[in-house]
Amino acid sequence: MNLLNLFQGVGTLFYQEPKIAIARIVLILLGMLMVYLGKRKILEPLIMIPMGFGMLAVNAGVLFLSASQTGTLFMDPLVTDTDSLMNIMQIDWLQPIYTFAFSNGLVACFVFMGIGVITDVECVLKYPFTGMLIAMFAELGSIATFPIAHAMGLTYGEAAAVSLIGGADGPMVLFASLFLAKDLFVPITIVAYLYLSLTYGGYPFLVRLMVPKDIRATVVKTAAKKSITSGEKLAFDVVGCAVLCLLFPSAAPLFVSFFLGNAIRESGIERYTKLIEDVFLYGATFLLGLMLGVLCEASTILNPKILILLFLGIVALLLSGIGGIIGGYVIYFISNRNFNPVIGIAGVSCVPTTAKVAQKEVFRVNRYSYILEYAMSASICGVITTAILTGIYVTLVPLM
Amino acid sequence: MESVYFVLKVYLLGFAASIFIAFVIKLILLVIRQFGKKHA
Repeated sequence: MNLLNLFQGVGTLFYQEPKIAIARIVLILLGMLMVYLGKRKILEPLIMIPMGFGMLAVNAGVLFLSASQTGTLFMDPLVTDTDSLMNIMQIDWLQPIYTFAFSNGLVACFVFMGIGVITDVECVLKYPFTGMLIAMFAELGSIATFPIAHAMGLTYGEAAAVSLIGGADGPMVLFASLFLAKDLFVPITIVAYLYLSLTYGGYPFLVRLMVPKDIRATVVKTAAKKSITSGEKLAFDVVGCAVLCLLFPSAAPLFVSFFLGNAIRESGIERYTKLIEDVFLYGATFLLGLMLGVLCEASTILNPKILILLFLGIVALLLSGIGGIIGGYVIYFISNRNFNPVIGIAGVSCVPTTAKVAQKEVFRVNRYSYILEYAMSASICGVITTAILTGIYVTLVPLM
Repeated sequence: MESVYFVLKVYLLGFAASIFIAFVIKLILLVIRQFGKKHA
């Protein structure tokens, strides 16, 4: 008996093209590295551990499907023919999840619903104009990356999807790339999640570079504001959802997911809150990580556009960070220096990571400067503005 | 150049929508608080 036919994961390495075989080995090692980095909390473990496992398993578990064809028993994202899809769904264990929950954006919406449940919109209702203004400045990456991406040879859809990495919201990038760049949605989403894990490490340096110590120490003096009741927050969820769905129906699944999650939180329905937070949010995050890992087959990753995406992803996040801080400076000067420009970095969204980064950087120079409320307002507004831009891109790009 | 014009249009639309949402928030608070005062 030929041992390579018995141990087909190894046997296929000798059968496939050398570059595919080498890429498989690299991806198996990369998967292991992701699990390690997730365990060490250097990268986000909730995503990286399932993604690492998916990546190493899909590249190790390749077998001979016929005498001349290799494949896996995980899933086939490229199948479109209905009969083939029905056959594959009975064989590939992740195909039903991919078809019914991933490729239609359901997983992204569940994550967004979970974000809605864990988000307190009080700060947004207290400082709506400041938050929205900073958040729009912090969309610089989502905007300015588009022409750069197009000039580098990406289609309008691909350029829009990769630009949205600047919005720093993983579910939004997944949603947009599924609609606008079906062929590149795997690498775009992976680049987004990899970079978002690194945001926490990179932005503090940007803050220190752009905001001098004395300005970073600014204490924001605010008149006491009346606290926001849960009824007012619920009214915002209802009206905000209706208005945004009316304006941007193509992003309605995202809006309704976020506002419904938040409305359940404010309605005090504890059982639903627990269901969405414990089951939907973490279940969807787990599946998202696993599916992204499984989609990292060697042939997908060898796409020549990957290097461009890696470059554009970092450009988008960098520009958004710079834009956010510029927005912080604009309000700093408008308000007669009664604002801390560091808050601008929180407008990049990535709730609540960037808000924490802002507060931490301010605390380093002044223990008495408390900016978290403003930072959370900008951060949550960042989620809303990114959803708005996603809606605009998804609506306008197909018309171009 | 077409992509630059397009993206400026996207930004202006996004900016207008965001500021509109901020107005909506203020309006909601105003209406609810006025309504609350009348029925207090």
